[in-house]
Amino acid sequence: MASIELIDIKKTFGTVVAVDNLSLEIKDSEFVALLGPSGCGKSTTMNMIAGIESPTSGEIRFDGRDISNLPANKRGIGFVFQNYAIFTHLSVRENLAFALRVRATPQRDIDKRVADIAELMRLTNKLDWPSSRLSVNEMQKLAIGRSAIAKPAIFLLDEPLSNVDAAFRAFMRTELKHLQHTLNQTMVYVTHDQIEAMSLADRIAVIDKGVLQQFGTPEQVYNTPANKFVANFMGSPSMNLIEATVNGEGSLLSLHFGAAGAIPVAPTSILCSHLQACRTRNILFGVRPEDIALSAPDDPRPGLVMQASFVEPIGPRTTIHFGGSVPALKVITQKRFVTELGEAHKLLMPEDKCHLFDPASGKAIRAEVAHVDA
Amino acid sequence: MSSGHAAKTPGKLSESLGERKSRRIGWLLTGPAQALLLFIVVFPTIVTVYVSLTLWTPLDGQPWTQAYRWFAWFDNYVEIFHDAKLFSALGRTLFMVAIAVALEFALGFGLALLFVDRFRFRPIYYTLILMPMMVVPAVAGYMFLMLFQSTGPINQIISAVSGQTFDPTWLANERLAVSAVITAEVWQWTPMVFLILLAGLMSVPEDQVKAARLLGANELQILRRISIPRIKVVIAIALGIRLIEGLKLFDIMYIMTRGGPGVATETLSLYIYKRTYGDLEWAYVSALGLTIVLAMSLVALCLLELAKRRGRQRPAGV
Amino acid sequence: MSTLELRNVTKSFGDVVAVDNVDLRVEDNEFYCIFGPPSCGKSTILRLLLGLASPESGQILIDGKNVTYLAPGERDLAMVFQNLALFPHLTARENLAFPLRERNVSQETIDATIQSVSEKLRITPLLEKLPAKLSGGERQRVAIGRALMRKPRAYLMDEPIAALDARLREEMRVELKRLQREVGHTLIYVTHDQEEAMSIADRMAIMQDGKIVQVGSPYEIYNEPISKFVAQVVGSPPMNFIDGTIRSGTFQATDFSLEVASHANLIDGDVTLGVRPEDVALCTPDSDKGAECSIFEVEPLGAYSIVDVIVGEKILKSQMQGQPRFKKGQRVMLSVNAEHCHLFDPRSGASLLRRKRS
Repeated sequence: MASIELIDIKKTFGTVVAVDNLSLEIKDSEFVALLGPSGCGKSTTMNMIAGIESPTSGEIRFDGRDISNLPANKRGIGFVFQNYAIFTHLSVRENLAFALRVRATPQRDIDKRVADIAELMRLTNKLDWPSSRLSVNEMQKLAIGRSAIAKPAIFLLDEPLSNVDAAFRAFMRTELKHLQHTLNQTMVYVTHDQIEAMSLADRIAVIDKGVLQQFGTPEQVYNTPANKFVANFMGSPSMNLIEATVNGEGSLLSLHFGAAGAIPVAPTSILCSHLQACRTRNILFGVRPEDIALSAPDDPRPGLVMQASFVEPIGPRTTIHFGGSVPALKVITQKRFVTELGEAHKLLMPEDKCHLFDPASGKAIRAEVAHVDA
Repeated sequence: MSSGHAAKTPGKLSESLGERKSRRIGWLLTGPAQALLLFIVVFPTIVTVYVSLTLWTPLDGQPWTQAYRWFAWFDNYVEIFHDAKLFSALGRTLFMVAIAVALEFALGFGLALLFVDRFRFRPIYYTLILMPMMVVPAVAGYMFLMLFQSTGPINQIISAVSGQTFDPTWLANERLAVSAVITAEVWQWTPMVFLILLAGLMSVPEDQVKAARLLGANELQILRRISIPRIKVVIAIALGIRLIEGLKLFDIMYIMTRGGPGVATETLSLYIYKRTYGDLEWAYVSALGLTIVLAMSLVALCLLELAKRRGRQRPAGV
Repeated sequence: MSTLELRNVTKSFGDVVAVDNVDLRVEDNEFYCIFGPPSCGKSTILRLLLGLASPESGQILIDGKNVTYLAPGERDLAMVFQNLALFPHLTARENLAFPLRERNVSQETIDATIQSVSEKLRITPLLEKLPAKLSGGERQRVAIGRALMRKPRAYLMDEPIAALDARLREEMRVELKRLQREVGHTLIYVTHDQEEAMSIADRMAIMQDGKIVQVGSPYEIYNEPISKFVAQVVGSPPMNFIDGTIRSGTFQATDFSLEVASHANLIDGDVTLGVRPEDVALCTPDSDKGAECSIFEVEPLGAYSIVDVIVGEKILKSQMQGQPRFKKGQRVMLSVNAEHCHLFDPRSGASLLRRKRS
């Protein structure tokens, strides 16, 4: 059990800045996901926590103690590699025992703990197999078990689910969460898959271009994104982001979406107070596909009338794309909702589910009352 | 080559037209090479086998084709097992090879470990270390002959440092001659062992080394539990090559000592050389050569089989 | 612009039968997905169509013409591989031009084709860049563009976007579908990602151990799986399965029962009940319908959440809209709409429901 503190961490490779003044405080036995697109610096950050790489500047603390100069094998960290790095020349048993062998643990203890961890990872009947003959799914479990056996206080996972098939992924997600509850370790998980991050993590650190964009619970990051990047990155399909202009004065405001039409804003709504906080007339308007309701084109409520241009059925729900090029909106509907291509619908956007961003800086615009600092 | 092709297609019936056509082109393309192979390998082998079954020597004044007149079945092969000089030469060779190869591995592995990580001027040092390997063995022999002369640089340096005249007559003293020869041998062939072992060490996946380190292993443990087990096959191959090469040891001895003093550095190859050109017993030498080839092939086969078996261990009870 | 057909095609490698007596017909202008778990034989089908492998038995037809023994170059198909295979030393423009240069097409035609293709793919500003300077998604577009330069009879794609980030994959699949519709070509697409297959296919074929087990529109496959296998591999999170018995129109399992009388022709006996997570409803315990259960885990995924509940000794997954406020261990009532249930033979896995085919 340990807390991790990154203070102004910077890492450069030649002229490339991989991680830029990143500060992060991970609490004891917390499950944190480092989330971002490939090449955003999340893996470098994790390698620095593990001691595989050392930061160009800044400080890393475990439990308040500066460990920047401690070598990797003394940090007591469990690390699961993306490709698992299974010792293929050893049996499953010897892979599991490795961390204990190098600590000169008595054979009796090794036998017992290997048996325990094998039971936990459901590898008991494969203990004497050469590890090279395991399936990808089993290798994954072995990689986790091998790190867990030494009971590290900190567990780092580098995209461990990216190579396994979808069904096993869903299973492993639940398993990992369960494991974390059982072992009560501080877990840091690197991923580019926002669904994985949402489902596993207590808190998510969204990173882009080496810079921390937002750090908060899945709900905070999803419901109140700090900027355009986070809004766009979280959620699948992603948030609709369209350009709009604000018309009117005081509390009598309306939003104009070019050719798609305009929506009057109710003067008492939260959207209206957000809009009053805007300094510019041009804004980026965001609304999540699942928050848009579809209605008949002649519905009197304010909304945009658009035509369905593309339908993506993905089983439990259907994504319908509206409009041709600009603006285009995606809407998620229930699976039994059927529409024809070209059919017109009225898109209703609940005012408390709308997001506003500054088109220049990308920062979220929120009225002070609604401002939730992540 | 053709057997590899057949393995891909299960049964002749499933062969398509295209595959049959490409097989014919394959024969055409490899034809010349196969003919050449026949000429340079198969023909000389047959001649050697033929001569080895006779007591013919060029002193008989007949060409080798007439050798059947002295046909003697396996007399030469029986003779091999009664040849005391041969066995003492073999013993000397094995002794020298064992020491030389052990030294080469110790030095080569140490150097390889240093060179796994990058450091300043690594390419320069790397080239320097590989240089001896490029030197023609006869030239290497000559270099060390010069170094170990009574007035050679080695004696001069030791004399200068100690302040006394130092001349143990390196190449005239039995023990010192052996160590001088081994020194030359180690100097020349450590680079190759270094190169093979370095390639092996570089092929150990970096992730595995990192994983082991994160699991708490120190550098020595990583070496013992990850690196060395993973390059076992490479080590076996390097060992095999060096042992076989070592048994053929000739140039350096021939130049430095001619097998002397006495027979102190007379190796198997040198012994065969003497029987060939000193005694002109070509039939006996043919038999001896074939026997050695056979024996070495067996050793190499065993080594390869061992390496292969380690590569695909089956789980117990599966 | 053509149809592709496999008739009773079998191909094995050594003892392994990769493609087992497969019949398949892809219609003109169709977006046809072949979906299955890894190494089920889906890529082998592409290799057979391309002519990179020849079948042991059966025929391959393009536009009704037997091409089983034609060399790959004579079949006039274009292929996009998973590992792109762009030439790293050529600019995007030269990469696009390559297939035409090979065929001695005039420079004017090449330029015109590059212009129309790059506009369709929105890569015009990238044309002078080397592949190393392009992002993953851009490289993918160029690779697809290169396939589009010629007008082959059909396009074959083997997991063309599997290597991209999740977000890019999502955008690319919409793009691909739009492109296929605009260009109007027959396209066979192999993937192991069920969501990808469902979202872009006009029709999809599900493969299992070298056999095609079901062919249909994504709607049909999802709503009327013909076996437990199909029900299992399509849909994420996967369908819940409960073993039990049918007695006079009621499904009975430990701690759980359900009226299934609405499904006619049910014979009493052992069955496996299948229900999709989104058809499992959870409500507060005061409602009297359904089975009592407790919350095990809640995974909020933004637009929807996956809630694991413990029913007796089993964990069932429920998918709900939004972000419900359940606590771990909380007692809730679970109800399932019998209309949306599936029943499978517990031994063969075959579906026991004979719904009307639309």
